[in-house]
Amino acid sequence: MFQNSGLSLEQAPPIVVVLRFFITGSIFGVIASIMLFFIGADIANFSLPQTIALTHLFTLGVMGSFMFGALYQMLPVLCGVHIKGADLLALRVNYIFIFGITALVAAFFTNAIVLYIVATLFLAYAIFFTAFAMLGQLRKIQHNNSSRGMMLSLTALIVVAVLGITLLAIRGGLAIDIDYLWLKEMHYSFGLFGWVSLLIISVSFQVIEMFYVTPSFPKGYAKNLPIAIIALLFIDLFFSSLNPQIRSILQLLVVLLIAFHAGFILLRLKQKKRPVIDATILFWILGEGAFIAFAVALIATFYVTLPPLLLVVLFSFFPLSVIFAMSYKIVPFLVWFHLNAQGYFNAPMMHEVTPPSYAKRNFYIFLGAFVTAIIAVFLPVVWYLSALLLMIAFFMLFLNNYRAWHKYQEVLESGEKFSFT
Amino acid sequence: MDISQYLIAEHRECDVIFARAEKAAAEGDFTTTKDEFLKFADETLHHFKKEEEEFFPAFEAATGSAEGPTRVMKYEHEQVRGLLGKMAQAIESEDKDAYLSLAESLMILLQQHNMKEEQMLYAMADRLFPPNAKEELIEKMKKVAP
Ligand SMILES: [Fe+2]
Ligand SMILES: [Fe+2]
Repeated sequence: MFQNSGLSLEQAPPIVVVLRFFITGSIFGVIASIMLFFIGADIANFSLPQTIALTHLFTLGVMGSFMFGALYQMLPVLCGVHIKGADLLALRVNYIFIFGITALVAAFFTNAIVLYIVATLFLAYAIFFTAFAMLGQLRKIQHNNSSRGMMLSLTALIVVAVLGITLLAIRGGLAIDIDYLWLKEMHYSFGLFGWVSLLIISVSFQVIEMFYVTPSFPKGYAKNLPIAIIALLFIDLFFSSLNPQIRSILQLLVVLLIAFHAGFILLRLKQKKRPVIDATILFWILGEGAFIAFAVALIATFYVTLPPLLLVVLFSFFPLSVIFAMSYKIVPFLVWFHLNAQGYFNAPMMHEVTPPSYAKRNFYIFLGAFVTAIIAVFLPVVWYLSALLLMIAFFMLFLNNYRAWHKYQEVLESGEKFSFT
Repeated sequence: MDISQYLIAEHRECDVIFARAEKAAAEGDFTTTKDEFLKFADETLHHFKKEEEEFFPAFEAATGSAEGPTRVMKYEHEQVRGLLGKMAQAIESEDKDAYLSLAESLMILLQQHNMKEEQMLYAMADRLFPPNAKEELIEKMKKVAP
């Protein structure tokens, strides 16, 4: 109706869009954990096909799915972005994305050219189509703290995808005259520090304040931090091949900026006005704490030798933890919100959708996965335990999302509705 | 003074009182919860009234649209009013879980509502309204009876 106001409730996408992506993401988390269980100690070898497949299950499968779900929800409601036909588009993207990831994982294992091609086509469609659709709308709005960072994160995702496709082409046998290892490093760097980190940073600008009632982040800071990070990454991309020394300095700067913000989030959480500490706060603390530990470990590598796997573990729990933090807040709220807004008397309250004790139990299991993963870096046999705990953690997340969806349908079918006539 | 300055201060004030009520409820102290909650509800409803009676009409006149943003804001006020009623019931029946759960929904709802007002409506009003009109509007809002 009023597409430019950006404040219309009609623009809130149906809850199934969000839940569908969140359910997909948590299932990918379970699958990835099972794969981790079978890889075990081999995970320390980063060039094995199964390790590469595992990385992509976590990044594309888990992170990607949750990102799509969160953006489809947040862009209209918080940023006033109207995505035309969002529900149908999301449905199609969801299926194509799942198929693309499956093909990619299969391609890493089999090295079959046809699978590389299929994976490229499907993933390129899902990623480019969504990213450009969202970017096209984001360009038009008046920016708030979050929306600019989201734009830059999506831009980084496009770079990641282009680099990834080039890598696949080389793996598939195409002769492209680029240093493969350098390309791979750029691919990871843009993926982890550009796409993933920028997304978390820009989301945090809105949700930390909104969910926990903290002082807001300074406007100039929120505007310039994502710009600084993406600028450093691009400088790295264009100039690092000239001078490899620049690489480590630029990367360290990026990591320090992200770590600074992680510290800022922890400070804000400490300043929160609400006294109640729920599981989602613990997940935020764990995630941001893991990143700070990652930054410290990275600096330490200038002086001592640390197993690279330790850095990987510390970094990985940063986005994974934030995913749990977001899901446990958004999902119960949306179920209540959508049903209440439609006038159902018996819209379940948030704790009826997700009992706080359930979320807390999920946190401690996830924390167990984190601690055992760190131990496993030095004592590889512990990987089995860590993978098992991670699998349970993701399964609990899946169950919560699934039950939320189920409860929503149940009220839709049987609920008493307030009639406006 | 800017419009945003005046109205944002009220948002923050409500947040502080809300947190006090929530803390008391979490500790099971329903006497304090009730006191603080009533203060919170009064302040919030008074703020809504200022917006609905003075700010939104002025905003609509300046932007030339009576639906759009202000309509959604009023709709969200209604949702908050509904939740306040349910929270009062939870206090009456001393149901801690229900109170905390409703409080959670209310805070998310209210925070995203406030965020949209602060980042879009108030910010726009600061830019659009001439200085003397701003002063006048603030004076009018101060006079709105609770
Ligand atoms: Fe309002
Ligand atoms: Fe307001």
